[in-house]
Amino acid sequence: MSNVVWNIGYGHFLVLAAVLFLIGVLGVLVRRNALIMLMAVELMLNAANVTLLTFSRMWGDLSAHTFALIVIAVAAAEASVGLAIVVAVFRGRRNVEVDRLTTLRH
Amino acid sequence: MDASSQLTFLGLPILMWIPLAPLLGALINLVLGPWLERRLGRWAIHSVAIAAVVFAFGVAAYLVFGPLLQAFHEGRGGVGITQVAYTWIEVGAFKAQLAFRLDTLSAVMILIVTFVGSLIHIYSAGYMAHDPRYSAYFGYLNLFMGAMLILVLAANLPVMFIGWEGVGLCSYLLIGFWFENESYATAGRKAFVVNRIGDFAFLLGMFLLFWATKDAGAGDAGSLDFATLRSTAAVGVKFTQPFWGGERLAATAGILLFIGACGKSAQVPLFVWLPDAMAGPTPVSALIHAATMVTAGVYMVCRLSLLYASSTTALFVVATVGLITALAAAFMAFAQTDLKKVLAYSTVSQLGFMFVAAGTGNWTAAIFHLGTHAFFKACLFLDAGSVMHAMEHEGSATPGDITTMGGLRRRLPITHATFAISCLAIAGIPLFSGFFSKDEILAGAFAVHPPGWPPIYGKILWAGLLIAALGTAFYMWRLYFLVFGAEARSEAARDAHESPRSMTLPLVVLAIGAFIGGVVGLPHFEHLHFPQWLGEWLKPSLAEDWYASGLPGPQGIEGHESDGEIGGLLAIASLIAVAGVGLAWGFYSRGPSKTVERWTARGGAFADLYRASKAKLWVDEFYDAVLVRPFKVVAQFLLEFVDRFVVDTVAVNGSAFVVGIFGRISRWFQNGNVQRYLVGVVIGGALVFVISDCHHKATFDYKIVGNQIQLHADPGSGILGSAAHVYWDLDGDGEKDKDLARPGELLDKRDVTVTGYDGPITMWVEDPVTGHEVKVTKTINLNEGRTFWPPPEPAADPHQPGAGQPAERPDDSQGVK
Amino acid sequence: MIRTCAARATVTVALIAVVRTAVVTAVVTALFWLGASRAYADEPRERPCQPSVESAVRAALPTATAVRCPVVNPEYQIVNGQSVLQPDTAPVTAEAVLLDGRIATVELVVDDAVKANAARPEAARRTVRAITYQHHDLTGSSGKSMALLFWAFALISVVGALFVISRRNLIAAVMGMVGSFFGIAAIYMMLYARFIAVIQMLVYAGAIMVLFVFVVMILNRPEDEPVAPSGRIGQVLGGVAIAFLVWRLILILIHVEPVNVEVAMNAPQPAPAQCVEWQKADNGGLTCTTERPDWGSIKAVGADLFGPGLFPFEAISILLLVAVVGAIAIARPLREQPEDAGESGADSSSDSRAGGGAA
Repeated sequence: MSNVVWNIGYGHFLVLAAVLFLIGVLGVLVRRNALIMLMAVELMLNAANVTLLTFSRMWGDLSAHTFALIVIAVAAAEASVGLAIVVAVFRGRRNVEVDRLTTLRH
Repeated sequence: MDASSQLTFLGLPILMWIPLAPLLGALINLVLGPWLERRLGRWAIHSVAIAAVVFAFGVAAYLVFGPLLQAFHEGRGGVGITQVAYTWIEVGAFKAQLAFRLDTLSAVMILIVTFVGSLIHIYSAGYMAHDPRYSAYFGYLNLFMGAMLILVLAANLPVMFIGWEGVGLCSYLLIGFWFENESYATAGRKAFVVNRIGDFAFLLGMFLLFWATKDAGAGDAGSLDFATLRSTAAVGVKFTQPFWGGERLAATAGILLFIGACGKSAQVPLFVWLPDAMAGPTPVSALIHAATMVTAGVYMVCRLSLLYASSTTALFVVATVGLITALAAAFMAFAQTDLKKVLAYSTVSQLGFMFVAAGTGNWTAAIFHLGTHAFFKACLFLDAGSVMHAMEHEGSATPGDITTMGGLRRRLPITHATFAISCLAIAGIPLFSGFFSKDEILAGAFAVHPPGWPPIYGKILWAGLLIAALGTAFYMWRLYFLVFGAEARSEAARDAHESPRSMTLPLVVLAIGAFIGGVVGLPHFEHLHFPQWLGEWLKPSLAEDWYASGLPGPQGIEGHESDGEIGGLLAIASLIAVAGVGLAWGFYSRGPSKTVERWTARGGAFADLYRASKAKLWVDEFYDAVLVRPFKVVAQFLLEFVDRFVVDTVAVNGSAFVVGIFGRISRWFQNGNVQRYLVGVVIGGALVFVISDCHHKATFDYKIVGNQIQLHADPGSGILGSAAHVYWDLDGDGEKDKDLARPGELLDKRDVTVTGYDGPITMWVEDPVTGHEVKVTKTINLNEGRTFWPPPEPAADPHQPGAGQPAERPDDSQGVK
Repeated sequence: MIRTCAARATVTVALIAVVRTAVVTAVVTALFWLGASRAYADEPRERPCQPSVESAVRAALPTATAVRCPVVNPEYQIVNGQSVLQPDTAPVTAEAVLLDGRIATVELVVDDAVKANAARPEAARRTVRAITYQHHDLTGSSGKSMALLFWAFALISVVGALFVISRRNLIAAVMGMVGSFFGIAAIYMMLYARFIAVIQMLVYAGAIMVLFVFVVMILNRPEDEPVAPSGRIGQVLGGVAIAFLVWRLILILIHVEPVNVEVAMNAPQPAPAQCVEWQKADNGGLTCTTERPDWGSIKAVGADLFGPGLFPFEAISILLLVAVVGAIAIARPLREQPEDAGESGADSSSDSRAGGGAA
């Protein structure tokens, strides 16, 4: 037990990433506010970044840093477009609850 | 191949243009018709149609009176002109070519078809002037002309079958042309179905001939070329070979093909469709159901004259069926009150005459009567159309009902005159064309005695035909008097007026033909050398003798009868005709006869006969009871059980039901809610672990090399398989062994080699996550699969169990990941 | 109305941000100093290597600057009350610091041929069996203080993330997000991804979160029902699956170990050391002064980014451009209308569209 607590290895970072990712999944799963869902997606992207950097460290390969940077850039793009959509939707409907956005479903 | 076979027109074999021209006309009218009608008007439609047929007639006339006449004078009339358009079917040695054959027989046919066809096209332009589907009508009519010309010009049976089916199709389309009327559509369907029965037999006969003519033509496959089929050297012997039950092959094939002819030419028992076919426009009845298509059967029998001449059985069948048809149809015509129905039964009866002629080997007479009949019957039908056109114009509900007519001779002078001439011709009044052709048939039946027939059967045929001829003269003139004689019996008849020029012109031409057509086949007086144009012309194309017996054939009829006999027969036939006309005049010259009404009324002398005639001998009812109803029951069963239950309920609704169930299930997931989809993703991810945990069967395998055991651990599949810890017990003490190379740690290599030990070996596989352990034990015998001689070498370093030393010797243990 | 709401929200956010940042900074600073002070105390003892070991290592690794032998096993044994040097035939491990900044862990064994000659143990020749390269920095990451820091930042990340998905108040959720990102940035730092950690703070906790805050202010509307009322079964099932996944992933991932020797030796290596300065040597040639490429520094990441990662880098610039244009196009008002009229018009039109589609 103490081994697990005091010997911080790569596994710990990976577990942290997994937990963060699953929290993000849970957020997308249960929340109905589009804004919260977007934040949960950001959380998942960050968890992926943690995994990337951990393995980068583990394999001694620096190129994962490049990919992490790209993930951050994609996340920024995603956030900007996603928030623009949220604003546009809110302007038309006065709410951003995803289970009410069913116009395209029928 | 002479030069005439190389004739081309616009790059195509010239014979091909004869059917191709009407087919092109049909294509234009059916595809571009409505557009043409909008842009240019109706004249464009019938101009195209008439031009196509007239062009075909022109080509036909040029070919017949040019190259073919020359060939005929050179003695090659039977070979004629054969042209191959292209090879249609080629399977192994079998080869069917789209080939056309113009010999003296088909020359007569194409001239009749194209000439009468041209006239009827011209007539139709007037008759159908107000029909809404003008272009479709002319398209169908042209299509029919093309198919009929293919049928006539075909050089082999498969090509003939194309035309055979093509005319059937056009017949169906044109009978049901006014399909808005339910009974008209039914009539078309009936014609089609009845024809199918005949066509089926026709096909069987064709296949049989194909089988029979193996080794006869070129190659080892059968040939259906008419040139081969009429070559006695090639197939004549084959025709006389026994078939099933000793029956001759020619008889079987001939009868099968004749059944096909029965369907097409409306013979007993397949004649029932023709009277109903009068539902079509009257020009169609004239062209298809009187002049051309229904004679295709006669033409086919004459075309295969060698086949029929080889089997007097088949001829007997043909003649008998022809006689029965002639009598039955004449009988049924007595009581009909519809103008076209009378003409239809008359057609059936006349076709019976032709088949009697064919059945007695009197091919020339059959074709002769076919030709004259085409003229006078077409003329009669067109007259009927003209009359109905006149009556219909006044809004009469049943324009063909002869009881409402009368006195039309003054209202419709041209129609009346041409009708009278044609009636004289069909009745067999001397000097009219029908007289000569009918007499030819009667004389032939009287004289001919094919080998194998009952002794006086020819005479019986003759007598029967005389009765039919008497009936024909009577009912035709009854028709004439009821329509044109006496006084008008209705307003419509009183106000009728003559048809337009485009309708009367063909009438006049046809009537002239009906009047003078007989000159091509004058009687065969021995001492009066009348020119025998038709007989001489057709001779090269037809069989000349009874093949099987070697007796002189039907072409030598004139040798069997004296001038006196011929003269006597002529006189009897004339008397019969005059008697029939006189009888009709006696009864009907002043309108419907009171005497006849009294006789045919309930309780009258001829009441039963009248009812039988009126009801057409109950043939339709008989077929309905025997064939149609059982068929309907079966169809009903198939509908209710197979279609409604098996297909609809079980297959269609059942599959829809199953799909619906799965759809209802998957609707829960696939509801467009992304969160719901994510639930699926997460559950799937969890299932990956659940399933990979299930597949955790650990084992190890080993190989014995010398006195070494090479062990390889297989901790199982799944995610944990590669990460599992593997421990060994290699000395049988039940403890996990230690690793000598790493003091204080257990041996956890995947590949281990043990030297000089045999006994139980145990492997533990430990899940690194849960700590769960799986234990596998195998007892290994070093001598497994080995001989005992020479004995195994002793181990280099024998171990001593129990001495506190580690027992195993991992010589070369190496971790591989 | 909106204006006052926005003003109130801005003040609230500012307050919360300031307080939180102060608290978090204090805690983290304390933890950091605690961890750093303990880190040096936990350094393993070192001893100079035996000459045979050092010569073998230098022969195998010509660029080694320093060779040291960590104390793994007790080197002395007490025999009869006297300490005796352990026989030199056991396998030993040595560490060498290379010129390019990496640490090579070298496993050495005694040659079989020399092993027999146990009379002169110091003459035994060593041969290198395996070399594992590690980064120099890793040596500083071990220790209990490091563990303490990890747990602290991990806790911040997880709690912040839970805040995001559980708060009904959107501002609270955003603040939880900021905290989570901060913790994640610290975790990056622990993985020696310094540049990425800085970028994380700048881009995420800075720019993106500010964007979120702005949008939250535009949509200033309290959420009455944070969890969708329909599909409860699906949510419960998904929750159970997520719980199972958490448990299972922890059990598996916690056991992930550094890759073994063979794989590590085949692993792609960082860019080689580069010359920063050329000097004239005594013998007339040139010597090269190399600088250790820092793991995760701007320079190292930049070299990779403009080397092998150039195409993705350029592609991402186009993506960002497209995203900017798209965001403007989407968020722009469709037409200029009075707000009330536009509102009702939009509502009615969307309703009629939905009705038409359903029909």
